[in-house]
Amino acid sequence: MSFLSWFALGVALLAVVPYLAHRLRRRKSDDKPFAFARLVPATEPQARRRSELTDKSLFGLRALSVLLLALLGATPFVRCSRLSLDRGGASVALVLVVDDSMSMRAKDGGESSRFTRAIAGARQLISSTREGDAVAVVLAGSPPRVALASSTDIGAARSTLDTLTPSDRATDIDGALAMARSLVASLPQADKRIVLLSDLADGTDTPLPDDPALWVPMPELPKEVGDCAVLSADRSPKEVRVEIACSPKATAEGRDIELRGGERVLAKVKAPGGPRVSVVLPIDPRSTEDLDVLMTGSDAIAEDDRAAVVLEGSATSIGVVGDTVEEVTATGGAPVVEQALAALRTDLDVRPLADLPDKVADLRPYAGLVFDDPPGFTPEARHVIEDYLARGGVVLLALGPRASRAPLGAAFTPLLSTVPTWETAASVRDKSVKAGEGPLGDSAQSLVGLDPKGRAELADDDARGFSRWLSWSDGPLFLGQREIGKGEAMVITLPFALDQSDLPLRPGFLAILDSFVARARARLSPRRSDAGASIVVADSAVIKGPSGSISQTREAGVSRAVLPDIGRYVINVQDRTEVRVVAPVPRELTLRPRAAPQGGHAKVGAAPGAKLDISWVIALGLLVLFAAEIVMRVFVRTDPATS
Amino acid sequence: MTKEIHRTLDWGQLAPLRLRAKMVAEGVYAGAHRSARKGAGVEFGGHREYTPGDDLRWLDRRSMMLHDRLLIRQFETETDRALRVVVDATASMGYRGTRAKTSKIAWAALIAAALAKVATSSGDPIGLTFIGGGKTARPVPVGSGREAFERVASSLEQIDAVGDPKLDPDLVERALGGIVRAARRGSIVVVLSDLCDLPSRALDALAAVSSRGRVLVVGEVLDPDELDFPFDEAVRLKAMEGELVVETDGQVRERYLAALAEHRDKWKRAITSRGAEVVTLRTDGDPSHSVREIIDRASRVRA
Repeated sequence: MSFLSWFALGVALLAVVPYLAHRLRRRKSDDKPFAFARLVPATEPQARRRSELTDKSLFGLRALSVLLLALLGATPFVRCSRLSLDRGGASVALVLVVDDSMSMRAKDGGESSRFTRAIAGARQLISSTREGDAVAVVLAGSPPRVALASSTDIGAARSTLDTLTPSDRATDIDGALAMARSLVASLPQADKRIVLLSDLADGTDTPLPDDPALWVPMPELPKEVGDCAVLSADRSPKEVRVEIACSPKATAEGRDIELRGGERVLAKVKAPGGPRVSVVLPIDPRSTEDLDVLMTGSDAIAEDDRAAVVLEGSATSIGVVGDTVEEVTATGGAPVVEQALAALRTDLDVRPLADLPDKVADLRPYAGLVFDDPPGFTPEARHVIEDYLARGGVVLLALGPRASRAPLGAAFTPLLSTVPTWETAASVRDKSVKAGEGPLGDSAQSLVGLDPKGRAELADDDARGFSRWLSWSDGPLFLGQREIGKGEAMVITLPFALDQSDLPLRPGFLAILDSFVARARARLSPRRSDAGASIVVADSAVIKGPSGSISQTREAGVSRAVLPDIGRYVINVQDRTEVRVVAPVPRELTLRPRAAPQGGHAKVGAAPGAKLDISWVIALGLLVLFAAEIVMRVFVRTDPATS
Repeated sequence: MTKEIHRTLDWGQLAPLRLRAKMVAEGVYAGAHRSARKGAGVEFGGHREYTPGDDLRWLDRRSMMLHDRLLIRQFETETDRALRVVVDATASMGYRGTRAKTSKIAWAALIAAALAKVATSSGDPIGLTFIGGGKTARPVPVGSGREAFERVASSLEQIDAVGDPKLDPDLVERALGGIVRAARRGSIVVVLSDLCDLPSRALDALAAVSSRGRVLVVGEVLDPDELDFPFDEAVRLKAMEGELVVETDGQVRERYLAALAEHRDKWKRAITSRGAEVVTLRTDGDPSHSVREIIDRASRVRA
């Protein structure tokens, strides 16, 4: 603070001048001699009190006026603790990355949660923007979303912040930052800034990228706290198995795990200590009511201490149907597609299937089926697959040379009406996959420059029936998707065998499988899903969750709904009701913040204590005080009791 | 506390005292006559030539036989012709309100000087005594002529309002005791005081003065502010004698005036019941009128 600031603030000492003048005036009054003072009665105390009260009010007003005058003089030099942009004259492109994950529900700073404080910080930053600045809002809960595309309408930004609510999603900071960078990349403002309002707890240990445009302005948010959560509560006929996970700084030991039907406690057990424990609660097999598991006590996040009980027996596997003999010979281990699915570390088992079961009931444990270059389907298999798809199954069909050699009587219905052909001409080898299409996004870049020995080609009618996710550079379909019944099918025109192409070696291969698994989970996954995950629903579905109705969005011809909060969701489709349970994501429970880049804000040019001109506020306050003094004087003069 | 109240005599618009006293006395002379109270008495006062019309009872036959001429014997009366002025110089007399020409003690000094001038001009002796006044009080013994007036004026010019009758209850007796012992029948005693905070025994002293044919006139010196209490806003009034401090405002005016009237009435009744007279002297009034009223009251008592 400069000398001028101190000097201006020193004027505040003049606030005592009215008091001193008052004292001096009173002293003169005290010493007034009067010969016959003994004959003078003392006045009533009430009159004296009225006089003193009036004097004090006026004194208070004047002292406050002097203080405000001093502050007004020092205002251009005063630094405020509010968040603001330390800026030059140029316009700023600002992206507010607000973390709406479950960890932001933690109340480690008093009554307000981390999310509330982050929103307050975002409002302060928006208040420091000027005309010409562009503001965007990105949510860092998984999956990252754009709440507001870049806009120069500051009012819209404020309105967007008003609509934001915390969720129980996992955190995806890297994805949100990538989304933020893409938002500001094309904006004309030279000064681009990304402000991350997060506790940085996304379950990873790597520090944040040292991006000169990145600023993490609220260092009080990233703080490791202790929390325990009920991850799952699965019901078998006679018991409920509860799984509990705790962050490194917390333990559930000693807390009661209660099984409740409504508010009635049906069973109770003490939780053991440990980072991840499971307990078993007995239950009456005849019970049909909705059950919940509640962990008593308190920790950083209260919302994850309760979980709805799910019936066991849902689909838990991905089936891989292929020629294991050839694949094993080629890879020296499990088929490459099985290894790739295992590498995805999903909670679904990967089970190889030598033959497709004859009954669709036998496919109930399978959320998805992968067919790697099958030589067509037998009539029984076609029937089973048709039923499987009709019930919501998901099939990934990889076409290769064996598919083109399907024997008589074998076909690919209901996926394809015609057996594909296998092209091995030399010209095919020059072709490659055209990136930039479909929902795979940047992951498709790794498929550019494939070196196939051939490719399957679909009949034109079959190709037109699929949504085109990826294409060969000369036009034919490489990867497509279509809905059949309640399910859907994905077709890729290369087999997964390494001797046919280097597709399994590309990262894009994992992206394709990941997309397949995600769709399988959404379609036929267990009734429990992660918070923030999207599920595929019928267009006419009505979904009600813990926080009200859930709206649907339609993407690529499929209706999807995102279930953001922990709890029980009831999905009504015409005359059928389905219950889904959303559970917290285990990695969200680590609550360990990532390291923030050092000195990032200095490069960005913003600081928590940036200069803020509040002269107009102080001047307005002065006017109010002057008006109040005038009103008070008029009131005192016209008050007959005082006069 | 007393020091705070003590102040040098506030002469206000009355200085110089001698000049003002003479001016006041000139206003009093109109209608007055020289005092020549020689005549029938017990003490021989000398002879003078007989003039037709003299009472033949006072014809001195022996002197006629010795000096072969008619001489009339003269006798001086026993009546004391002296005027004794007592000025209250206690602290309360130092008060001066916002509308007064001067302080009460300065006003009393002017009246006293004017009376002295009138007395000496009439050939009557004059004496001066103070109630209080501390070291500044220099009483003047009874004397006649211009020198006596000069001494009285000089003493009045140096007086200061000092002294608290509450702390010194014998103050009044000490001042009046000498007068009671020395003054004889017919002498006139004028006491100029505000009668403020005087002890009750002061009444006895005044009663003693007014006895044995002495004429006592009490001039009650009051400031206009004391008579109508002009304070409207809140004020802290401090007694000039004692430590009393009163927080008050204009709401108590009526009650104060009632208390003052009762106080004055009590003193007036006590004084007049002993054959004396009480004259109210406002410090914003006409001093000549005040002196004339004192003389008239004295004449009324003597008659």
